[in-house]
Amino acid sequence: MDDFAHPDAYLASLRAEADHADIGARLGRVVAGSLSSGLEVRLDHDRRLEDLAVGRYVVMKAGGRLFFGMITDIALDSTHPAFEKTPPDLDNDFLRQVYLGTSTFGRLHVSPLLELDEHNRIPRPVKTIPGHYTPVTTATPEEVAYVFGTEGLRRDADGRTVHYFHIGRPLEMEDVKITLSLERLVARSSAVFGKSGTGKTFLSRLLLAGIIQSDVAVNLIFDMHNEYGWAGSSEGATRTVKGLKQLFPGRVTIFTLDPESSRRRQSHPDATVTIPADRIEPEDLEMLAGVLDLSEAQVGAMYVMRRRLGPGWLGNFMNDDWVDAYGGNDTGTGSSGLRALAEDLDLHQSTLAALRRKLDRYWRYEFITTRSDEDSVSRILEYLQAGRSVVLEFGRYGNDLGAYLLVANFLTRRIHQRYVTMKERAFGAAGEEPRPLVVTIEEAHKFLDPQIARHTIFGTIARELRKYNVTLLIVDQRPSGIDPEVMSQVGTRITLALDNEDDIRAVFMGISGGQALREVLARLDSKEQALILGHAVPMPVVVQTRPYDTEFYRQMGYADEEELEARFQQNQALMRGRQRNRLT
Amino acid sequence: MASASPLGRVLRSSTTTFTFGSLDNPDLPAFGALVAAEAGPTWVYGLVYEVLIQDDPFVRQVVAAAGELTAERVEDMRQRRQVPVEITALTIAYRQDDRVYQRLPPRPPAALQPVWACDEATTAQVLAEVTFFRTVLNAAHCPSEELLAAALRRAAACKLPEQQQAYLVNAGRELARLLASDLPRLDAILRRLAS
Repeated sequence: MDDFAHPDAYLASLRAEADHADIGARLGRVVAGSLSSGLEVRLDHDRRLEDLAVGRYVVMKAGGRLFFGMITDIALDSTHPAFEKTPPDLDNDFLRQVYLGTSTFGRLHVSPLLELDEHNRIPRPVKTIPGHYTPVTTATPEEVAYVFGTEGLRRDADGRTVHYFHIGRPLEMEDVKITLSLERLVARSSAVFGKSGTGKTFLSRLLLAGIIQSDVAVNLIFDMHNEYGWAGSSEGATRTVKGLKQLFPGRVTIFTLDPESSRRRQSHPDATVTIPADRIEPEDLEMLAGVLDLSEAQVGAMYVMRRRLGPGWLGNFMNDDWVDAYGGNDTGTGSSGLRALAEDLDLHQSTLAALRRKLDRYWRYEFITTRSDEDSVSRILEYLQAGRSVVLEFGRYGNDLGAYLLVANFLTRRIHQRYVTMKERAFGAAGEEPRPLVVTIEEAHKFLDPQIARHTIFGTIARELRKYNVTLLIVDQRPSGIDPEVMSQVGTRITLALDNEDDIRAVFMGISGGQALREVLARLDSKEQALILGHAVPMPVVVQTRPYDTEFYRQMGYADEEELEARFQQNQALMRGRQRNRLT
Repeated sequence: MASASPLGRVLRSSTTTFTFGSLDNPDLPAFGALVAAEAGPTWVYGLVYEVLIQDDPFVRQVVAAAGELTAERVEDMRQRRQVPVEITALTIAYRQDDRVYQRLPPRPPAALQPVWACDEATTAQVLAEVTFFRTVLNAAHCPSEELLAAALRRAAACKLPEQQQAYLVNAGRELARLLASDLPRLDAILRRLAS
């Protein structure tokens, strides 16, 4: 009761207890388990369940090895079922002291993640488990830091130089930096998952900044909601945060589909992307079948027209005058031109009419031009090959899924095609390797839906890994909507909070022992906490993500005007000093 | 042994118990007290679990006469009994070459061996391990729950006051382990330790 009389003192004492949080202290002993299903740990009688949390690391030392594990479940247990039905008299102090922790006790489920040989100290995946009654302690910050290593350039276990990027800190450890290997991140397709409002965009921007700064790959970012290029919105006090171009003015180029919107937002676009109508091929539209509700016959009709009418098929097909005049009919008689076209192509007139109706909305997009001399693909590619990342802002088209799918698919297909050519030429020693490219797509399940993933370029890229130096960064809120085959090829999965059971299950698809981490994922805070697992980290980790703030800007090399001014003054003073020295 | 004179002498013994006779006096060992008797090269330790005061012809006569009894008369009668008070101890440990083993001794004490009360230091040393819990719990012929509780309380009393509670709690946890499948019994003992 006294505790409540002095709430501050009480809180302080609680906090002291929490700070103590018994880092490095013994929790209990391994009592059962297996490599596949994880370890059961019986808690020592003086440990309180309330001090623990899923997602925390534990360490077990046995047989000259250090095993790292993560607490993935916490349970109550007792030596006898009768303790549930007839609880002992806990009003008695002595009985409580004896029973609690001995007859009734806490049990942890620990997933073994990693082992370190005490001699060579190289982290490896676990191939065995610690024996019976191995003491289990909470991992110390030093141990966690050792596994993840320091930020910056470092040699990995294979002797290659690798960039390690600071992504956040582990739960309850203030001073430990969790790093991930950027080379490994971009080596395979990666994904950032999380329900809306959990900070997917922030985290993705953080990763992209890391990739750009370290120059491990160039990026092509399909920026659906205009969050990456010049400035992004924030729920914090500042309302806006700096986009990639502000942080890396020389290394990021903004393209826009909607120059008006870009101008209004003052996002300083470098170029406008247009899509020449006569370059659009049936393959580009086929993946829109779902959005446009195209039937198979209509899709087939597009291929027939492409074959029979040549490159200008779409422009002609959508041009009323051309259709009306088809077959030598007089203009103005309406549908007769279409009938002639259908007869010529051996198609139903109704199919063509419906197709025209459905494509009409797309045809009115301003970014589709009839001029064929503008080649946005080549321009983007030039920038990419010069090492400049490209952010493509969609402006008002961001809310139009069809436009997003069409443009992303159109550009990526062609860029990928060029990459394949370049890579093959490099393979034949006739050219330079193309720079590794990471294509960032939002709402990725729309591209990677099991129905269409086989047909879209994104499905192909995800499946062929880095064969052609192109990988994906998938940003999505519905991992369950993504083709399992694609999902299994995603190397690194960074997952913010998810609610839906199917989505949680999908995240762990194709990861051995992943199911054990489900509870960890289901218990993430709804903001700024992420579970990272896969290729880029030595073991799965729950991080409090690094803030995207002025400190981060500075570390990325950004200097604001005041700072630049100060530096200028400093340099000036220095120069003057030198001059004076020389004069005297 | 601390006291100068023995508590009594062995009347009969077996591997698991020994019974000794004593005069009826206020210094009789208490229930749960540790006593010791020599048996060849070993000392045998037992926990007192039964004190038996039997009648004899004189007592029967006096009680049958139903007359007034003065305090002196009663005291005199008690001192001059024809049959001794019989005290039985459950053997739980022995000492050989100055080491204590909490197991049954190689042989029991012989008849007429003097039996001694154990002082606090010896009690603490002999009861230091928890192996004897099982011996007591398995003894069918004695009130084992009561005996174990009494013995533990006495062992606790040999500790410093600030260590007594911790000692009992640790003993309780050991019991909880041993009796994990017999909760009524565990609860019975723990309640006897609690207050």
